[in-house]
Amino acid sequence: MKKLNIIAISTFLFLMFSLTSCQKKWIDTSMNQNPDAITDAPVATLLPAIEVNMGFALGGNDAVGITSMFVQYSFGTSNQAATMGGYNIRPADMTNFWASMYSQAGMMGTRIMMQKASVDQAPIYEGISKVLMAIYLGNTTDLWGDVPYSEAFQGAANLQPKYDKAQDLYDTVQGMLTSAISYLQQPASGTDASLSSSDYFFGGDANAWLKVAWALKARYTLRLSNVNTNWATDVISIIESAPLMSSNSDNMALNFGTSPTANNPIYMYEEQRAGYISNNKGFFAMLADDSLDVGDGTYMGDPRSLIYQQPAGTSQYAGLYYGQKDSPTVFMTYAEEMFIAAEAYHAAGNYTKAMDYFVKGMTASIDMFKGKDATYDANADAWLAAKLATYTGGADSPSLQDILDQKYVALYMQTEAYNDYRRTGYPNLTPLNAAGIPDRFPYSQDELNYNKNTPTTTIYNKLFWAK
Amino acid sequence: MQITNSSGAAGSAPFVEIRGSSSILGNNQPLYVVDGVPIESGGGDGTVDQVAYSSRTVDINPDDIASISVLKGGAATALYGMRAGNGVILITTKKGQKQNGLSINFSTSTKFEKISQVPALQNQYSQGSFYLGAYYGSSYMDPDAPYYNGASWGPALSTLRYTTDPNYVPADGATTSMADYIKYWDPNGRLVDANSSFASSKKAIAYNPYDFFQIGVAADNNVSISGGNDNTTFYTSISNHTEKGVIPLNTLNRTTFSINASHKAAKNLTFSTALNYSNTYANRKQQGSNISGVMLGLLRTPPTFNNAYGYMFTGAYRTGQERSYRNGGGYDNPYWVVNQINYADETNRLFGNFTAKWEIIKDLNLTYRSGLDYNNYYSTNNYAIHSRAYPSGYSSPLNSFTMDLNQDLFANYKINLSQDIQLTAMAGMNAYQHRYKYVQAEANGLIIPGWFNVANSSSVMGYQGENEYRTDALYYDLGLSYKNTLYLDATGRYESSTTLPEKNKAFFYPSVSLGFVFSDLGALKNSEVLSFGKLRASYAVTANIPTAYNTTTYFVQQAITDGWVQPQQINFPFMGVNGYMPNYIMGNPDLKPETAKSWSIGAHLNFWNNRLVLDGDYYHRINSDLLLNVPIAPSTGYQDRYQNAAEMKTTGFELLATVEIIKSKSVNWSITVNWSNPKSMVTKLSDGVPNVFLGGFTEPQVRAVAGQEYRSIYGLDWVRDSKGQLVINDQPGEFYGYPIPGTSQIYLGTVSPKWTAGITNNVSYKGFALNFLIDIKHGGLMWNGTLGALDYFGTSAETANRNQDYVWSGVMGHVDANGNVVTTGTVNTQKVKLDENWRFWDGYGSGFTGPSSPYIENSGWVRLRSVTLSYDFKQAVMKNVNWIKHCNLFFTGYNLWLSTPYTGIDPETSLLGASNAQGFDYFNMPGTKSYTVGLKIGF
Repeated sequence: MKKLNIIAISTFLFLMFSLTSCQKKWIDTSMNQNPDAITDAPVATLLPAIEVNMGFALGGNDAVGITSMFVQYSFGTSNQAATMGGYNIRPADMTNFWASMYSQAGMMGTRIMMQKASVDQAPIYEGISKVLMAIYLGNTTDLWGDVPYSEAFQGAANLQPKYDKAQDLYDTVQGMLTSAISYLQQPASGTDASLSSSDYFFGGDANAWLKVAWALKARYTLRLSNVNTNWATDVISIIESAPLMSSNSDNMALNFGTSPTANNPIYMYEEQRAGYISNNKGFFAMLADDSLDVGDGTYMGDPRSLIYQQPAGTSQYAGLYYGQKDSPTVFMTYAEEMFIAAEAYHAAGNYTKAMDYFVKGMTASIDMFKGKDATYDANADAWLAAKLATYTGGADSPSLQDILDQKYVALYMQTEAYNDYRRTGYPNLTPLNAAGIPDRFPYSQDELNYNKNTPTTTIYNKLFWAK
Repeated sequence: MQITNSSGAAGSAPFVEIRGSSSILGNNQPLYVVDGVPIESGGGDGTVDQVAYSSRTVDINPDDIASISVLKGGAATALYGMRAGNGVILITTKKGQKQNGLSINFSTSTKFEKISQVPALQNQYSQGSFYLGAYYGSSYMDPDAPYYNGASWGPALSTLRYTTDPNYVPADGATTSMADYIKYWDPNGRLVDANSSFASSKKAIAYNPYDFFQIGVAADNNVSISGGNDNTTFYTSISNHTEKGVIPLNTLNRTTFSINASHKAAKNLTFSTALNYSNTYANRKQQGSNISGVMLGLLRTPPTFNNAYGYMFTGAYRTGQERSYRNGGGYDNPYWVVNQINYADETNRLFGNFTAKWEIIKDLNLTYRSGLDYNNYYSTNNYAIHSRAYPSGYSSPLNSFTMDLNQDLFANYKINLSQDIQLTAMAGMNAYQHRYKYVQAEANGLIIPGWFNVANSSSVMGYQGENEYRTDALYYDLGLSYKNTLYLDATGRYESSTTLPEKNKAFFYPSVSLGFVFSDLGALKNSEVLSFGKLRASYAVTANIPTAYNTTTYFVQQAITDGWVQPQQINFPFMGVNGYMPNYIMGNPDLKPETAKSWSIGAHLNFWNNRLVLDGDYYHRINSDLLLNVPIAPSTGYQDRYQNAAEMKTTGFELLATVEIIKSKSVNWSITVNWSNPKSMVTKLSDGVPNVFLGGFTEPQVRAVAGQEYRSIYGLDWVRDSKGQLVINDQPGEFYGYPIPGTSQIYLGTVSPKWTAGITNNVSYKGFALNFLIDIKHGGLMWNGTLGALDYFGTSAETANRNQDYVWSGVMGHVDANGNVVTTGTVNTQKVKLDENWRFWDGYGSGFTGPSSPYIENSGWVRLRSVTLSYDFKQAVMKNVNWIKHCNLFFTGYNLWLSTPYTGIDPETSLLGASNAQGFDYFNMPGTKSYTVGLKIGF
């Protein structure tokens, strides 16, 4: 019995000893860091992801794709596109889009980049991040109204961010742009040198970004035209004193590529969901109706229809400029800035200047699409001259409606047209059914499920700045 | 125990659960232990658009298995660690024995397989659309149609005839002559209206898409040799399984080799080793909801289009491109899918162990066991150019390996503390390491057609990653028995893991169980009625660890896409520049292990010397601190957070009864019935988490919801009145007389069944043995997404009623501006038509346009799972042939008969494979039935 006990006890002791002496080295919790992932990334690697995400998400199928059906640039022919085009749009349809705006390379990444640029003392990066943040936030509140911002982006520290009032958010956007403008005017630092390759929009050109920032300020001032009585004065002061866009090379556009993993999102949609969306017959009928003499008694409708419409035998509903593999997605154009100016001067009663900028806007739009189609290149200028000749000046020619109708044609495949329609009621659209064109997007199902501060609304609750 | 086969595809993975579910997002499947060493048995998950993958259980040669037992409840699993929290399947392999000469066993079998039930399709209406007031069909039928209509709402086949008039030239610009038309589209000619002057008398044919499936054949061959003497025994085997599935070109081949040997080196020292090698390679075909799934193209094809007539244009017209009813749009022709798209994979696996056992003194021994499980997985997923999902072509090779090392050192001791009391003790330690590494390349866009290689692309992405973690443990098992009547057993395990934060890395979980054999007491001792009776009770705590790398938030290089264009995406580097973004999952530095506390009581009763055996348990388990990827509002900057966030309660009975109805020298008949009803309720989800999305689509979803049974289905329903009757729209307009769709997702039921049961019959007569198993699943819902889609396209059999009057049963009413139901209670008598407008255009009569509740069906079943008839030649006619040890001929049929209210394919199916999101059927591959004949002979 004794011998037994000794052996038994010593066996157990041996086991205990061997294990405990090894344990510290064997169970090393520092090996729980994924060696194939990074916990930090430099600004030069964050910016490209943010810009591509903006191009793909804000310029893509959940934003432009849907608003284009609402303002009748396009028509939902089948499946989910027909459902949404018929104004049957639900919170569950918004989950991917909302997540792209808020998490990862949307506003979350932009915010991280802004903070890093500040720590790294790279003023151009910081200025650019603020412009991009203003675009993300501006577009988000344009579509959804009240959205989270001041309490957002805190992760587990605040799982129920409150929804800020849209009125306050436009102030935030303006403040962000003003700050951006101040940073963009500072001398570039060493870190900013990497912008020449990381910035797809302008290669780090601070002046180009400055013009965009001012143009955005003008756009967001215009947005409040129904509620801010001074709006026209404010826009005019920007037009008269700030650096302005002066040609289409100043446009803020993300260019996609021909390789299969770099295609434009609208092109990808047309390939994967061929036949879901097609040209809107009413829009193209309207363009055709604008038939003018382009010389020698030849009559031609608005030549931009050659660029906008679906090329024969293809499913590319967005046309030659916006629907190809390497098409750009566009965020701010020279043409838009000119139309903003025209509308401001018209509201202020200065019809000469209004006409001036109206002409610039139309010319900018016509010029933007040159180089895609031979017939267009041959005739567009002649058509433009004939068209401009139909405006005689004064309050009614071009009238406010004329300005907005032409802005509508120029802004084909851009979300800004949906904003203008809600703000002014122009162009005069006939809804497809009795429900009517929605006044906003529904909140994402994820917010409804997981954030108890999400307000209850319908898609027919007008935003505070709408007509 | 509940086993769900996930698909009829060759090599698809079964989903096994013992005693209900224990985890919400984590692994609910049991641990497989082979000869005392746990092995990897994972894999088999899918996403909604992939193939059916094998789990690693496919690598085990069934002919090498001597016995399988299932260990349930906390007590048994406390010995195998945290991975055994869902139960253990203990497999013991065949060993050699001391004998004269060698034993040689040979077995061979062949299986023939065909598909079982499939969704019913209509064969009366042709491709096209009538809604717009004009016939708006397909260009190959109607030259005025601008594109190939994707639906089957066209004219009735009875009104159509073929024409082969060489002067009737189609004006669609695609084909230039009738001869071309016949060559590209349909050998019978073009379809025209029967009253047309070009019509012949040949009536339109309705093609049957199910002709696509074939008879699958599988052959199994196995040879094993074993032998031994006083000191050494060995067992070795080699086997081959070759299978062609019911889907053309779906194949699986597996070859295994195993050797098992033991040697007594000294009087009290024995060494043994086992090595199993298997090589499996498979060619798999797509299922599910992406553009290139077999069933999508197959079931949406209108009756007037014959997919089999060709899947690729070889002439001048669209050379090399796909021939499908959408002429290049929509979904792939299923023949294109099986010929031009292939998911091939090869797995080489080696698992085995080395064991040394030392008998220190009598009743005290020490064992060292070292187990290795290594597998290398190599796969290539290839899409030919012009495939709908990747029109420029795609090829992606992946190479990965997994290596698990498991070591145990333990001692066993037995001693009689007194004449009546015996103590058995076991104590030991364990060290385990898991390592996984992979490298993958993805070529999106091929240059030279037909060459699937990353060198054949100008756009190649590379990925690499790994996953490694370790655990170690100290464990003990003490047992006391008193007079072989009363048993007390206590176990404990103290375990640490590297996947937990330092402060929480170690955890202790004990168990205790009691057994009482009352049949030897007093008056019962010599009872003729009760031969054996035992009562048992146990209480156990087990744990589960998080997956690795979850304590930190990372930046990732992620592709950008949206819900419309997947699987197309933008990859980084984009235009030559690389980009990273914060991950969508937040890391959590406060993770704790999951714990499960369970108790059970039960009894085992044996009457009349085994004539009747009853066994039953009741169990109650609470799983707390369940680890989940909890979705959070994206406005927080992240979409998910991995955290301890839920609690689940599972209770149920497990009952078993065996009756030997006839027991005699020549005839024996016994029936075994087992019945279980595990019910898992989600009792709590953490603050701010109203529900957890387990899987599915935007609508419907399978969720874990606090207060509901696990795996609840949420979706939209029609508007109903307070009594649950349908409210039929009484407002004038387009939808007068139709039901009204609801606007917010509600609870529609649960995927989990109420109870499951099995009835096994064993009959033997002289040399014959007949065995059949009836499997019953009662309750449980499944989303028949396939039917929802086919209703939209007009191909389902129920849309054949499109021109007939239909009256919805319900009460007249409507929804007012405040969202309230207003009803008069009048019974609806309005006749309406369930036509194209209702199903496709403006209405709500399909899974795409309306609520999903009409498509949530009862998926219970009663099935004849297997029937085996075998004949034992040895016993019957070869009794005196000494050199033949056994010889059996058998015939087996699987799944020969199925009765179910579910209207789609065999409801034993899962779109997402062996994952937690069960309950979805969206163009899943059909189930199969099979017939096997085989011979086993031993020398």
